[in-house]
Amino acid sequence: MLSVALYIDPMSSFSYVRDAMGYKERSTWIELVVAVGVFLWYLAAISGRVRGTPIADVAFQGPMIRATLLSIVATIVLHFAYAIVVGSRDTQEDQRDRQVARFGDWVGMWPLVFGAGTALVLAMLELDHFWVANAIYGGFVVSSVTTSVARLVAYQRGLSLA
Amino acid sequence: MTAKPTKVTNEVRALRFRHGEMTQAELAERVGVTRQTIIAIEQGRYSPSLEVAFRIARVFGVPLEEAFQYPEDRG
Repeated sequence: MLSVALYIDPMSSFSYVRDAMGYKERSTWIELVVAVGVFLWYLAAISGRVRGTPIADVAFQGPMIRATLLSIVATIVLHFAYAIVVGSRDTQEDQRDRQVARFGDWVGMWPLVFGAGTALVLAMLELDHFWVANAIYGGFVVSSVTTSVARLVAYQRGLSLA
Repeated sequence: MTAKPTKVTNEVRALRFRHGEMTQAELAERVGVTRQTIIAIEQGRYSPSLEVAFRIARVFGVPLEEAFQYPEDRG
């Protein structure tokens, strides 16, 4: 019984996703998955270097650059993969997509401002570059995740301009 | 701008069925929006711009207020 309840037909799931979501909503899901996935990869890469090393000597630059490049490549590859697997050719965008995008950008702006402000304070306090750079990077990641979540909530719950 | 349902109600679904059971895809194409936006409008999750609302009403050949309604303020 449990196995029946948990069984999900992958093709019907793809059909549901294709029919229920527009191109921009699917794209937002991909951006969210990439943002979270790449950040977890970055955390794993950094945590291995932090152990037993003074923070000032931790080489965070390589993983941070690789994480940035990885997020760009992963976003492109996942968009292509999705289009191939699901067979979606619909890439239309309309006024609702643009309004949802603006709403998400507005919500996601605040973590970025907070990250930049934190980095400014850390720089004034002359803390290690590690903390300053990671405050900015963290701001970008949280901003990206917040933007995506806000957009997905707007797609699902609705968007009121009033 | 907030993520919440709109107060605007509409008769788009009923109008589609009264016009030869027009599909959401056909209406979307004639109005120039995605099918998901027509779904969101019908479910009351999105109120379209005035321009799109006029285009929808025009597809069905009805006045705007026959397609879209807004509740009276009480108080």
